[in-house]
Amino acid sequence: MSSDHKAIVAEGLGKSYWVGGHMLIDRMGMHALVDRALKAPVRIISRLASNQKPASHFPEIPGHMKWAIRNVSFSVDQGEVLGIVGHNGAGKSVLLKLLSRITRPTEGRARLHGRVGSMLEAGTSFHGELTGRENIQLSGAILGMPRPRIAALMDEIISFSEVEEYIDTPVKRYSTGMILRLGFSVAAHLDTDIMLIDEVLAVGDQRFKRRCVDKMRSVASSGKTVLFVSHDMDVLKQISDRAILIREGSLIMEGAPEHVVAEHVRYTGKS
Amino acid sequence: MIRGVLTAFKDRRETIYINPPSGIPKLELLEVWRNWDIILILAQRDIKVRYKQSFAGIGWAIIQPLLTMIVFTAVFAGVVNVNTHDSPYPLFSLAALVPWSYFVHAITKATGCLVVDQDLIKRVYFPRLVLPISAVIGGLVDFAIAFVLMLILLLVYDWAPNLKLLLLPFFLLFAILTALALGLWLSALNVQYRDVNNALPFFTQLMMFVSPVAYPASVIPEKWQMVYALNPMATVINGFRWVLLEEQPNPGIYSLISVAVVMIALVGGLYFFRWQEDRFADVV
Repeated sequence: MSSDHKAIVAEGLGKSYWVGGHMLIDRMGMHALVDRALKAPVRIISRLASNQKPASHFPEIPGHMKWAIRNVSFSVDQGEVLGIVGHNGAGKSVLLKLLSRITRPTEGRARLHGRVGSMLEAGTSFHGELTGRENIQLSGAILGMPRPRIAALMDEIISFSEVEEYIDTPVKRYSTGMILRLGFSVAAHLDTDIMLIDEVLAVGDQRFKRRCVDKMRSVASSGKTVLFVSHDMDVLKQISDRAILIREGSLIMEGAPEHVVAEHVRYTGKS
Repeated sequence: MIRGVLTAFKDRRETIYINPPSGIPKLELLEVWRNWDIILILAQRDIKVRYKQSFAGIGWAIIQPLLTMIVFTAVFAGVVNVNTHDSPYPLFSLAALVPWSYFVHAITKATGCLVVDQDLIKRVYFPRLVLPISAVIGGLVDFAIAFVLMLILLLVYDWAPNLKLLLLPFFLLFAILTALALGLWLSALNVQYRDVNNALPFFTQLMMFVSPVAYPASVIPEKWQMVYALNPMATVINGFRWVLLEEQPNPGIYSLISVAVVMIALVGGLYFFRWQEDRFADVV
């Protein structure tokens, strides 16, 4: 089968960050910067006079490049559910950020076929001063739901979140659990071809968690392509068709969820 | 092979390509247009939020230009005696203060928008241009309220509307574009250098002195009029006065300089913003 039928194809994705300050002032210090600026005319004239090329624009910069992920290649079939396993800081979230276009890769490329919905943290687009209902409209629109669709799904979203009683209260009066539930509920009703999900399953109490997992399962079986990161190995094994393991920014294993999770657990136990 | 082509043809779902940034960025204004819903809902959010837990509420949109007008009238009509081309000074100054207040409000909102909404930028994808655009559009509600105040004052002075009023939307649009053009540059710079936000109140204050808010543009000597028109807000204010007040002169041919300035700043700002955009989520 050609790669045209894949929902997601990633080829050699890499993202590097500068560790140790971004700003010119951070790099050089205020004094050095002012000093350079003041001496610039002298430097330029002497350079012109001697007809020399500048050695370097800036002095040695403290800090170094760090690859958050590098050389990550994989593909996901349409309708497939891919779990991503790895330790904190392994690069799972960076990978999801790249695929959801929040940030751009330093190298490599990826292709996603279909509308993409992402949920990288529940309730992030909420505003504390707005009511639950207003926040559903806001969050839904930002996540890419058309307005009429939000209106049609409103009751369903509210009832799933179990915050009916407080739906017209400003969200700043909500408990953390309530905000997360409402956030998950909005995202769970997104109707996109591809869903990118990070950690949202760690929401609320056991009962709500079970409902989230059920919802996820029905999303997964509805033919959507799902890519999700979770630290809950049991849920991951239940839901995914396939899994990949990321360690220190590299993709080191790909295969059946049980095998990948086993390897991850084995390595965790060792270290 | 043929089957592949057929399925590709049948399948109308869009394909998203993710690449490292390179070369001149594409503006993709069509994508911004498709996200008009987000622009409106963010503007709506800002308006709702601003007046929650506020006693005067939406009244702030009136208080600011009204009090400034009163102080200006006392100083510039009472003490300094500024020439207003025979318009009553309160009308003369309010016709300038209404678009000026909008401008200051819009540019302040636009400059801070990427930092204020950094949680969104770090966690949800949408065209980032939506944020400054929504900031300058949200300010229009305040403008509308202040404009009602203007109309009431005009009626108090026995005003007879004339056809020039139909040109008002153009001058308003020009004010919006001016705020957006500046806002694009300043918001993108503010992501990396928060100095921009700190310098902004000072900058807008200085800009008011070089805009004909308290005085008529005609006090500027003819030979400096061309330089004066480099400030697009001069043209906006001259335009507002001209369409609202019978006695005021038209903005004149030098307005074209203002138009050129705004167009260049706007197109440059769009490219600058798009160029910087790739780093927003990493730097902010």
